[in-house]
Amino acid sequence: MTTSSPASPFAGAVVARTRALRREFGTDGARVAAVDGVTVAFERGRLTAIVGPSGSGKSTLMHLLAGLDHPTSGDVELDGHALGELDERALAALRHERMGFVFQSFNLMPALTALQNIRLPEQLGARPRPHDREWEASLIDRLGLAGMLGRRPAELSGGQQQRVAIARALAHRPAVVFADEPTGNLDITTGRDVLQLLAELVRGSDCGVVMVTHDPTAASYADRVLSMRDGRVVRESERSSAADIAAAMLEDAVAR
Amino acid sequence: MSARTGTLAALAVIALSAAYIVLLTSLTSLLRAGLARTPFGQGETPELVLGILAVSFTIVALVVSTVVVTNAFALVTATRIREIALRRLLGASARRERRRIAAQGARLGLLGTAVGIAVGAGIALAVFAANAGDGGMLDGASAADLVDPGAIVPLVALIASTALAAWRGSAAVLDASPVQALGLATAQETGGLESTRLRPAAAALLLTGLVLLVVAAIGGMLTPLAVLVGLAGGTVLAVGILTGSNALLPRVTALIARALPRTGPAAAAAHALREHPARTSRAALGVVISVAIVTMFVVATASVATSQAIEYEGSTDAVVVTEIMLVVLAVVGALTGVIAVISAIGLSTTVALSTRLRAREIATTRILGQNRGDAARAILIEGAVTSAAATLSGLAVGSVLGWVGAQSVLGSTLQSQLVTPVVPVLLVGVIAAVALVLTALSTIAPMRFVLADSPMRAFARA
Repeated sequence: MTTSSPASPFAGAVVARTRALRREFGTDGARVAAVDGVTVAFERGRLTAIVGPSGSGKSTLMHLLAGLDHPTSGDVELDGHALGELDERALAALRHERMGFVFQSFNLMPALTALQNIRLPEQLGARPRPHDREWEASLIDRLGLAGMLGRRPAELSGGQQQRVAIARALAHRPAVVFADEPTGNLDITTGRDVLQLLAELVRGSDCGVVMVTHDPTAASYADRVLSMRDGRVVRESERSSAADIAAAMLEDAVAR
Repeated sequence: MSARTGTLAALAVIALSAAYIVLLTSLTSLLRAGLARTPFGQGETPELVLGILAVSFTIVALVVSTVVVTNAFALVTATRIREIALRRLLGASARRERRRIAAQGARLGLLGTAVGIAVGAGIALAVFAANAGDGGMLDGASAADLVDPGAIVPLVALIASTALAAWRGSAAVLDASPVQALGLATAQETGGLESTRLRPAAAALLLTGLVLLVVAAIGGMLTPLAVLVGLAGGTVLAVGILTGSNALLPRVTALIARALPRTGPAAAAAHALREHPARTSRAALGVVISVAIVTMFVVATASVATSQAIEYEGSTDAVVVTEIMLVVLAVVGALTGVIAVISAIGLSTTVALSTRLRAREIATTRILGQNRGDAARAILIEGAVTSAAATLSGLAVGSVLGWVGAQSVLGSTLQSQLVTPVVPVLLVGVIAAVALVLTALSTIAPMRFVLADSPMRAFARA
């Protein structure tokens, strides 16, 4: 696993895919399919955004991809593993080793320093397993965190906290990073900076990013945009401007 | 684990304390009345000893229950933080919200005390009915002897301390900003804000207490009156430990946590304990006190009995020593039993509070790939380390006090002038078993709460 130039051998390689994925909620009387027959693939080295209004099923789709929720029917394959065949323990191990997470509310441990937060996943296994320190140093450098490693989250701005969270998500060289509304708690400029960094870090590498958002500006940093409505993928486009994405989202909403 | 858990825990603790106080004062009063009719009772000494014992155990029960109720109300506040934030968003002031919880504390105090008085009086009457008229010491005593007007003082103090504990425990209300009602945040901890510095006053008390104890031990070689110095030293030391508990107990837990491997669950547990010294010490304090009291009496008796056995070679043997010890263990154990139960409730509400406040952190680490087993183990280790630290501290403090007590009374009567310190294996075994049971009891509910949901649902709910 090496970081590679944009002309990467990974370009186009699938890191996760779903087949006829369906997830229903509710009781027998009133069942609603939050994800309704989604077949889609996500590639390494690219940032894929899933956009859509609230209730469109984009978050549920992400939870299913990450093995945090179980489908009613259909399959998920991630980094060569069929998630349906894995038990709770194996899913946790897979998340630990092959996935990274970036949250809307950062979710750093308040009592740990920035560096301790970046290294938190090392502590989650049965025994501590240090990550590649050289890669960690380059992440810290590229995310501009060098001067603040000893600070606690409360002493960092929102943008700084999210950069720490990105370092935490990438430090163990995951196959895929899931980002759930990563700019939701940031102002526009900070949000842009953070996404720019995330996109630069993964573009051309063997790591794919799946980002859930309803912010067209955030989605404009993605290499590919999937639009969801009522549990289905209704539109798919290559990299687009924020204005185009916003227009498409509005059109999808009106078409309801 | 709802707000009801905290309320029920507080109510149980108050009722237990009230019952304990009533039982203690009425039985003491009965014994005093009985003693007065025997040749023993003509002097003032037995009555004085009984009085001192009753007052000390009452004070200990009050201190422990206040500490536990404070934590119970912190749990109540933490579980209601969203509701409180919503009320604040709709216009209620923080002061008003806090007063509401304190008023609930006062009501609980009254209710719990009433229940406790009824239970305590019932048991005292039953004891009286069972023993009166069998030709024993209680013959000629009447049921009226059970009533001790002096019991009013500790009962009122209990209600007042409950209200105070509710007020202190509800401090988190002030942190509940109205914005939290919008779902952006929950009861979370900032961490690392509590001071672990040993305050000068506590340090001075500890030092004075230790010096007095050393003086008592040496003085015991010359005169039994040294026990008075020892009594003063023990009291000063105990007050010092109480005042300095925020600084002392977390250090003991850190020491024990250091012996653990630096793996995920253990590291997470050690971390939780280190970052919240006030909570850790509140969890441990009751257990420390209970264990210390039992240990003190048992070590004192065992040391005295053993020293005398050595002195009058052969006339007393190990069997007799063990027998005496068992009797003391039973009597003191019974006196301390209720306090130990209150402490156990305290430990479990604290572990519940700690996991409740860290619910989001725990859910986050599970999303990041910690499996259920390790998440549960972290909570188990947190409980185990706390109860181990508490029992070991209690064992150490109790042993020192017990030996100094024995030495100061008896040292001068022995040829060697030194009482052989004895910490019976039996005692250590009993206490280890208690610690084990405590750990299990205090962690079951929080572990089930944390693991009931999938990581994602736990995250959403936190």
